[in-house]
Amino acid sequence: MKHKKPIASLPSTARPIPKAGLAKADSVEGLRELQRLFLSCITRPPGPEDRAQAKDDRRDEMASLASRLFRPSTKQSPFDRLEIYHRQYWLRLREALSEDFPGLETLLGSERFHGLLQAYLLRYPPTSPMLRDLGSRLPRFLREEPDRTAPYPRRLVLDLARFEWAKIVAFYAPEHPLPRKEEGTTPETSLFLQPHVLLLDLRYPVERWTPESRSPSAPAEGAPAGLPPLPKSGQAPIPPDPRRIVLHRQGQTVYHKILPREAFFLLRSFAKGSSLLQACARTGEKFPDLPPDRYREWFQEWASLGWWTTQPRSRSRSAASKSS
Amino acid sequence: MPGNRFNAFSDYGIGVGLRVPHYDHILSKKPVVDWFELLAEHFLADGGRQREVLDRVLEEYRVVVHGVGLYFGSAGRLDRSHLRKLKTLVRRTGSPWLSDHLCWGSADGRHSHDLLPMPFTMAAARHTAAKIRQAADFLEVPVSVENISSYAEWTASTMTEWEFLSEVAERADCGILLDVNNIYIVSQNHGFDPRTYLDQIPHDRVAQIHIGGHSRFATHILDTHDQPVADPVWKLYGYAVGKLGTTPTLLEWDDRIPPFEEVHREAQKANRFLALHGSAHP
Repeated sequence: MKHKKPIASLPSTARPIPKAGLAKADSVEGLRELQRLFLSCITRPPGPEDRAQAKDDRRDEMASLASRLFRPSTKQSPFDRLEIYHRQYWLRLREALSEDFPGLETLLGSERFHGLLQAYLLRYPPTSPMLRDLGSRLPRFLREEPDRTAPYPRRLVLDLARFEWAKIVAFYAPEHPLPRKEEGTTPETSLFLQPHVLLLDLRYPVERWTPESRSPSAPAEGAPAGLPPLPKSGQAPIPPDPRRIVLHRQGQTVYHKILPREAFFLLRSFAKGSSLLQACARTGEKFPDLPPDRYREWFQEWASLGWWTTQPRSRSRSAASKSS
Repeated sequence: MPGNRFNAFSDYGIGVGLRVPHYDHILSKKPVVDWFELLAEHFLADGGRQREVLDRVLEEYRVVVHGVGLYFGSAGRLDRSHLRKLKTLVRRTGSPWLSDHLCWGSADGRHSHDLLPMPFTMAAARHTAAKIRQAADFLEVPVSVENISSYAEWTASTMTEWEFLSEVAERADCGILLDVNNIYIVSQNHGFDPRTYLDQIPHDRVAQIHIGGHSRFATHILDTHDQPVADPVWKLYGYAVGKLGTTPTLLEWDDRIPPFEEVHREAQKANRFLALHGSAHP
């Protein structure tokens, strides 16, 4: 695995250093204790004690622990050697999240964004072997920590995070088999949305401000040229402009589309499974004036885009599709 | 050296890592490449571009799956869900062997997303070897472990890295993915003769070799895979193939990635050393 070159540290809060004697790794339990200790050292928030010129108790304590864990080299102290891993941990995770949430970083500015990521990763450290899962709980964290989004409205930041995460989900989601006439699909057959079709009920027009990210690309369908640039940190407040969006993957590309609220309501019926008849009945109750031709148009379009399947969606990685 | 049981007696030559910036070139130009190495965790998704690219690559090329997430050396158990996904990928790709690293990277379900150095103790070797055996039994392909770059040496270690690698490989009855660049880096960072490392490991277990670029700083070397292979690493590679004979070799280039032709040209330099040193092997 490659390593990134070092970067500057972030501000930090103190975290207690274990005082107990060191295990010797002469048993699996001893190995476990050493690994826990090492992981706690490298995942601690980066702080002033990491800087070579820093002179404080915290640094002395860390240096003392490092010298019990590691041998010095001819050119580096044990603390310097430990710090290589410490820096790499934060650099790698920050880079991964910056690539997955480019719009959020631009909106908040790098300093505030990195502070947010640090707080997020301390509460929700990585638990998946796949780095692309790293941002899965960022929308949840933003709901839990509304103050982190200041000076922007909480809902603006949350909408942007949900939109960017939904792009990741749509990009990597599987495609289930399409309904087939020869399998006897009827208007009573339960249909589900494809895992790569995600619905978002947004208060802000965040889809306009999402720059291209690392892997998924999400061009807007019918997007006018010259969209407004993403507002930078500290600029004038952004007015709400509610919209309902569907993200979907065609081939290797993720697209988004703004839906009328009736279509959004109808399509959402299929998120947990519904027949065409049930979905139409529910939508008809809610929107009694909706002409039958509209249903036909939408169903034809969605069928041609392959948005339905007869296979239920698994629960994993669906957080972004949760409408709020 | 003909293939051995750890690389399924295959005849793989010089390969390169399959990387995103090269997808279009590979799919449109179909360059002649002996084989590609896949970073497993990039191809475990059920859909998306990665899967589509992989399907098209498989139509034209041989591939080998290389993981970064099994963490054989972590004190915890193997992640069965991750193993199941790897097995599906191995079967889908027809990978003749699978490799991952001789390291740890998680504790109590928390992942570092890094390859962290092991304390070289007998207990750690026994535990790691048992997990490798479990993985190989489950995956039903030969497994090889790769020596990593490291920037720190545990005070708890009671043996050298090459003794630890040998102990683990013998106990697990697994192959070795010998990263010559990593041997060079740790020899510089920790102060030993890299040829001693190469002399002391069980040569008949080496399934594959990695080469790659690194970055030298005033106090240490980092394994960055962002530049051509350094001359001392080529020299060490020549020494290695002199010991091992012709061995499947892969160039890793993962950052500041140049055009495909440049990466492939760099990989092909290995042929010079294979012709010069590999043929001398009995």
